[in-house]
Amino acid sequence: MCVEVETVLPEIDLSELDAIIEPYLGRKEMVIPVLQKVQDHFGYLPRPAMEQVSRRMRIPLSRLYGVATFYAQFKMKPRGRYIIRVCKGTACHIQGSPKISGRIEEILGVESGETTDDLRFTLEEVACIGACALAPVIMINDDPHGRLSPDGIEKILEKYS
Amino acid sequence: MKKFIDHCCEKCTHTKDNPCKDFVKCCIEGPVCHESSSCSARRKAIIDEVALNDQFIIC
Amino acid sequence: MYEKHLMICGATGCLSSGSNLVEEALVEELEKHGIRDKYRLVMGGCPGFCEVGPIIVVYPDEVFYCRLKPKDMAELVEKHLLEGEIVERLLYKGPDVVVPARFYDTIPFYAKHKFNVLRTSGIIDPESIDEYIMRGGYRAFTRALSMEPLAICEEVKEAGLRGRGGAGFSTGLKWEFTNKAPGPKKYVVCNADEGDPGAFMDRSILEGDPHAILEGMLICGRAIGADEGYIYCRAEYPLAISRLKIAIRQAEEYGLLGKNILGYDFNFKMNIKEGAGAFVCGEETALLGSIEGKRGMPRPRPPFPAQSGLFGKPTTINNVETFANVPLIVKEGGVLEFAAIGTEGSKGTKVFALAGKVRNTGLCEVPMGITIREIIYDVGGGIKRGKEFKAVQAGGPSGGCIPAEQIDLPIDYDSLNKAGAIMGSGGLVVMDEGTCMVDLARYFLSFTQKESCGKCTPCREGTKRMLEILDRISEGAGVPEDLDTLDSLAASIKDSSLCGLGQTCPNPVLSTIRYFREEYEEHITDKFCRAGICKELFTYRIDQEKCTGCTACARVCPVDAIKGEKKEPHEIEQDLCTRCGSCVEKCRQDCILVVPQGREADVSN
Ligand SMILES: Cc1cc2nc3c(=O)[nH]c(=O)nc-3n(C[C@H](O)[C@H](O)[C@H](O)COP(=O)(O)O)c2cc1C
Ligand code: FES
Repeated sequence: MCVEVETVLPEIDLSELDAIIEPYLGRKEMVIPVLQKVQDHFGYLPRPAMEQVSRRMRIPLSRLYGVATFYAQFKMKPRGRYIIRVCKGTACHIQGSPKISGRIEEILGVESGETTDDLRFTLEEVACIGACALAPVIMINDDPHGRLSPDGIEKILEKYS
Repeated sequence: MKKFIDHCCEKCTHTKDNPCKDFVKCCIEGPVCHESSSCSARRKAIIDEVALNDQFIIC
Repeated sequence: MYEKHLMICGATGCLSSGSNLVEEALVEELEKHGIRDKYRLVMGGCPGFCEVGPIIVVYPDEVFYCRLKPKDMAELVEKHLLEGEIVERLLYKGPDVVVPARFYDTIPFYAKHKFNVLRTSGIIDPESIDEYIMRGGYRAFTRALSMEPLAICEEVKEAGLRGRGGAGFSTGLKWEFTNKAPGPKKYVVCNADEGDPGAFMDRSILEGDPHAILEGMLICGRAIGADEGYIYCRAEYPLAISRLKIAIRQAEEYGLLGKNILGYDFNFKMNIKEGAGAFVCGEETALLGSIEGKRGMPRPRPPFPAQSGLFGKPTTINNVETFANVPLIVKEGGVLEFAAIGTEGSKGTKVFALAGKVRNTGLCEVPMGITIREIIYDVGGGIKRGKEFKAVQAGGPSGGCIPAEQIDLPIDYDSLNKAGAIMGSGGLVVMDEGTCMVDLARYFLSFTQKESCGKCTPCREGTKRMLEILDRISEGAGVPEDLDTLDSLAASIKDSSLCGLGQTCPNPVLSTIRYFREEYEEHITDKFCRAGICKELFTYRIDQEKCTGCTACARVCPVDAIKGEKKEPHEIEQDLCTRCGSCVEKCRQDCILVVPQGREADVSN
């Protein structure tokens, strides 16, 4: 599993980072919760933040990236304002989720895992969000949309600007 | 007394630091440690508030 | 005291059908009439019947309203609540009932249910410990505190409880091993990672009845001599996590967690860990690694977690549903009651997530040993749009499919294993003639392939090679030897992988080859996908006799490939058609046919 770490560093405000790390100092088993909190704060895991976590928690950067890249939840790149999660669970698959993601990719011009240039949407996949009865399902941020058909997608996306 | 953990009267001594073994039974059938019809009425009131009918006692 | 209780399903299924809007509308109506405080509204757990959501159940009348819209609330309030008259229009109607069904027990979906684990789901307020206690909660735990730890293990063994999360190992025996392992520090871990894509029963239990999990874990802690517990829950389940946190806080306030619990020499601390999105973390040793803050990679067993688990200490790890069953067993007289349900080797009930092409989808809890036919036709109400039942996939990516010929197979651990599937977590995905079995196998394998942690070569590379072959077959480039290659690859992956992921991930491929070999052969030799899924291997054609020229298909086609006059049979321009399938969904006459490529012209015979 290889990762691209962004080379052009956007402006990152690290001032609140120490307060996030503080409660977990000296507790190396808590790296995952720390990374989750850092990601909650920045929306992703920026390199400078990772470096600071590494220094403060005394965990080698390589190990930190080792953990972060293992889990699908952690993102190394900035993401859009709206995260579209297309359910790729079994029920959704056999009810046609590939057609749904195909249509979304067509409309947005990005593939799964990518973000639109205007940082509006990020397209992701998720395995079962627990609404199988309404398959195929997508989540846009926290709103689930169910019983979709390819031709209804455009209308839904329009609601998120 | 709004919740089971609240004291029904000063005779009730159950707290986190000074617990009694019959706490769970006491919530429903209590009070166990002393006799008092007004205290048991207080407990019953909590149950009645959300109880629907007998069927809803699950186990 | 409240006049009535209105239970609104607040689980994910109903939320995505808009139950939050329904609730808002209901509150507004109640306030409009100034009767808000006479009624108790609970956004509670899932009553299971997600298909007809949003659902409101009115107690004590037990009237079941479904498919609700915000605008229905005015009528519900005015007619039912104010005038005491049932609103017929909003009751359950379906092809399986003659008159609209009022109550749970008259709805066919619920007829075969046996509520055990889901006993309180949708009835109680999951955020109230008082309600859990008054329904009999924490009584089994109180009893366990007065028992010898090994006697608790003995009862769980005697009841015949087997793990609900995977292999179906005897829970009592597992506890006994941990109890007998030396050392003062031990752990209880609840596996709430629910990774099977297509299963959501653990989520429903966590959201609907979090205290039952805490009670089960506490009893386990007493039985094995542990004083600390971890619940490892998927981060994708935010509601479950927040309800668990509330439950833990309440249990601490009540002294049911903490030090010297209820005056006994028993301490217990409960922690929650959020998963970070890795299927393999459902595997027990990987899960323990993840709690320790490492990459979630499985490690060899033995030593089993019972000897050396979390932080190297003896650990019992069980599934959510397993723990939810425990209070029922350990309560007074529970062993006999529990063992009376089910079959010889599989006791109790099992919650299944029924999804796919059945009419009634949702959660159902049924006795072990029920047949597939009963689940699909009685609970599930048969196949959607009257199509033909083809197979059911049990056990998710580690399981296998069971074909229509075996529809009378009883669902229990041993029968499923024999048929090449597993109980797994309990996902049942029903498939009809429109499902391509090659595509299904490819789907599961691509899932496990992506989720393989990469530690062992057979699982990392072998699955990749298998997937390439399946890709080739579905693109029309398969060769006859492919099936043998798949077989032999599958055998070596199963033999030489370290953990359950590798050992089971060839199962979907093997079982589809076993039962649907001719479909694979059709893909390979005839270059035809009869289900109309593998895009390179079929074309659509409009049945010229049946087409009424309603233009529905032409209007929905995104590439304008469908031509024809109104009221005249339409035709598809093959060069333009992308086989997106939009037209098939819209056609009410079922006149869009799937035919082999290059043979559009002569299919009329
Ligand atoms: C790849 C893989 C994924 C698993 N995922 C889960 C899961 O999501 N939930 C679960 O309870 N068990 C899962 N298991 C099974 C666990 O390893 C373990 O057997 C189970 O938690 C034991 O609990 P039980 O005895 O109560 O079933 C998985 C196993 C494997 C190999
Ligand atoms: S499979 Fe998509 S919600 Fe479960």
